[in-house]
Amino acid sequence: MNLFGIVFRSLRQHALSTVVTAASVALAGGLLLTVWVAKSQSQATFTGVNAGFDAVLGARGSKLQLVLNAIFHLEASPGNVAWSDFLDVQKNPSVELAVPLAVGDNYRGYRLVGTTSDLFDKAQYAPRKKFTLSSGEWFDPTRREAVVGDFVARKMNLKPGDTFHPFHGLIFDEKNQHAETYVVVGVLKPSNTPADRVIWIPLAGIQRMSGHDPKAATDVSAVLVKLKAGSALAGFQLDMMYNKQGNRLTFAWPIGSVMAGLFDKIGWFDLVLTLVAWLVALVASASILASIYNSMNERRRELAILRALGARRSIVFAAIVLEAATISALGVVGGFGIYAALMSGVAGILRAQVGVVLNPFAFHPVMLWSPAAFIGLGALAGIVPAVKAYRTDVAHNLAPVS
Amino acid sequence: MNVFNPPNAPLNHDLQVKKPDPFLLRITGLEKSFRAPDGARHRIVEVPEFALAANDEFALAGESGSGKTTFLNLIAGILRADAGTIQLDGAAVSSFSESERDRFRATTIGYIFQTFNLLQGYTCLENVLLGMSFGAGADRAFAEALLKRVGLGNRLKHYPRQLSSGQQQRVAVARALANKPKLVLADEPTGNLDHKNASESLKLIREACRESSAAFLVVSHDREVLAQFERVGDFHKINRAFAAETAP
Amino acid sequence: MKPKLLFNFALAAAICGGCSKSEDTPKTEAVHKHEHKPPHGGTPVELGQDEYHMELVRDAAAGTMQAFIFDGELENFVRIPAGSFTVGAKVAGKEEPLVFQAVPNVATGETVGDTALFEARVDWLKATPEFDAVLKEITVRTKTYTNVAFNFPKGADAGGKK
Repeated sequence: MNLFGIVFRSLRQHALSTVVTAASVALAGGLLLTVWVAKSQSQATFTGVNAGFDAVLGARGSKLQLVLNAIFHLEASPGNVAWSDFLDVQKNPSVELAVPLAVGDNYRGYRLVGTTSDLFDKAQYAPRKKFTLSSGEWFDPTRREAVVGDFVARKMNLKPGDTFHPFHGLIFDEKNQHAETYVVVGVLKPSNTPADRVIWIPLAGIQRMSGHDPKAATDVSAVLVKLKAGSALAGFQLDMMYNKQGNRLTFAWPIGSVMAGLFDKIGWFDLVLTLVAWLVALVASASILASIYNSMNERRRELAILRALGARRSIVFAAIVLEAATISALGVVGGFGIYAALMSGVAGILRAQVGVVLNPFAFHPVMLWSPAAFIGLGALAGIVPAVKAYRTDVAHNLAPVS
Repeated sequence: MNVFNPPNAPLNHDLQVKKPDPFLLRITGLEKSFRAPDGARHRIVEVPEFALAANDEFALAGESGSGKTTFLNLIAGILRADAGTIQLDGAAVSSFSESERDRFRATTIGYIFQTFNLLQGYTCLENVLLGMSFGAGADRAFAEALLKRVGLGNRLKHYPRQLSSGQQQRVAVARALANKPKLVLADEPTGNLDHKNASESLKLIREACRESSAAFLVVSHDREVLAQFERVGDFHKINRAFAAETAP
Repeated sequence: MKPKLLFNFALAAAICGGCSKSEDTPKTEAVHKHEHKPPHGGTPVELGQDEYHMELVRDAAAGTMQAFIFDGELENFVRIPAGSFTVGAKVAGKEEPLVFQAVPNVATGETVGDTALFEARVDWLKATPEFDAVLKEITVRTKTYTNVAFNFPKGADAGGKK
């Protein structure tokens, strides 16, 4: 029987308090991991998702709103962009590809986005990755046809051949049904981007939908812009021209920086969440301390017996510290379970709401140092009761003096 | 010529082979005092001399408060004497540091307590193994054999709360002998047992000590217990501190 | 654990500090003669005591020169109502006029009478990478600047002011 044997039996003997204390550590650990990984992954993902484009050109307004609208298919667009502005940027010598987008309708809450075939033919939503179909074919730009993102297709049970009526606006309202009928001709393969969460239709579909302003029939909501490779200065020049020299349009470039700016602004929130997680960790450690310390009174005799059998003071001290660290370690293991559950929930919500995909099981350095920190905290918490055990008066705590 | 031992040179006593001490335990001038809550110091133990041979049995008769437990704790190294020497198996235990005394106790002494002092969170077998682990090391086979010897071969995985008092005492006996000690100390070993269990238990302890070649020192106020021993000492006379306290 | 928490605090403070737009940057206020980078990589010409700037960008192939009007920090474009202005350039001992015309731009919303961009087009620009020149007169908002001497592409510091 060694030190670990003594610790194991002590934990076994005080099973209930061990489980309760370990559970509080698990909660703290799971919370900390979730906050850290969710923030880090979502920041990386949000700043990394750009649908394969460098910039978004839109009506004068917030760059963030433009990017959220055109790339993440959230938010309303800040206004319309004239067709001539689209042609203008398209023929700019530094621009490799310009794709117009138009929004304004939905199907039961899922956004309809009008675009041209260029998005599917020419654009790469990720390096060397183009949009592909899992079934059906691409829409005919002259017909009322739709290609559905994978997530929408599964949620709404849409497949090639199905028909639907769009609804006006970006928020679903049963009363705003359009008369037009669209037929689903294709379903996209999952791209793990926000494109999975929308229904793609020809540009003219949005522009000429009944009830939409005919005077704006050639306007678009935004233009996705890809700059030519090697034209690093071009982005800067266009940014300066549209945003500083001009006052009509906004050029949101580079897309990643716009999103990074958002995370900078909510950096305080992340800090608060992290602080809360650490506070929970401290409370959990304090509960280890309290639980073991309070048990010291009942365990005086037990410790005296160990000492009477030949255990040195240092062994008894080490056993208590190790016991505290072990409770923490058990909590850490449970914490991973809580993290998996929480993070899966967070990932599911993000996927459904934003189309951004997180991976709860991807490695992050916090998964190494956080358990170490918790076990260290636990060991620290064990020191005070261990000192008490160290000072146990053996003779006094053995059988009564005869 | 042998310069180290020339002819007719007086014998160098330091070079002579020392005669082995016939006593396993030899105590001289032992003193121990405690401070009372009011700050006054009270001498609990004052034993000018005491000795016990190897393989010997000795019973110390004494009432409660006579300092018997303190005396046993001093021998076991659980307490440190204020003055005097304790020689045990050739080692000057009284001069050891605390950790040396702990280690020595684990390898040389077996201790049987009145209230058994088994660890409630350990099975019978684990209690015996624990007793071994601070000494020579755990020997599962030997621990099982000991428990079988004391009649608990079919209770290895039982916890103390699942045993009768008599059975618990037997586990304590097995634990005390687990490290093959040279000396077994017993402090009122039958104090918590009924008459039948008491006599069986005592018989078992004495037999087990003889089989293990361990000396046995027991303290008790029970006349029936004392009557079973050939050598009985009156602790009230051995411990001058008690005599001084109770002197008219 | 504790150093990481302190680091997080510091990082967050730095980030949140960076969020605030009202922060002063005193070091750019202290010295009069400080450098401004011309946004298009062209030649800056100071108007007044750093009150406004003009940035000149030559396109040798096309034989054109663009002039952008900026604020004192060379950061914000300043639109002026002028239809044109003239710069007298000394080329091979002769005075050659460079007439800058207002340039409308649909993309930026600039029109003649409300633009920050002017352009001159003349053949000799194609073969003349350097010359001395004098900006005859230009009015930016309420300030008029006359006879602003400069060298292209070296630029100038001081400028005349009415």
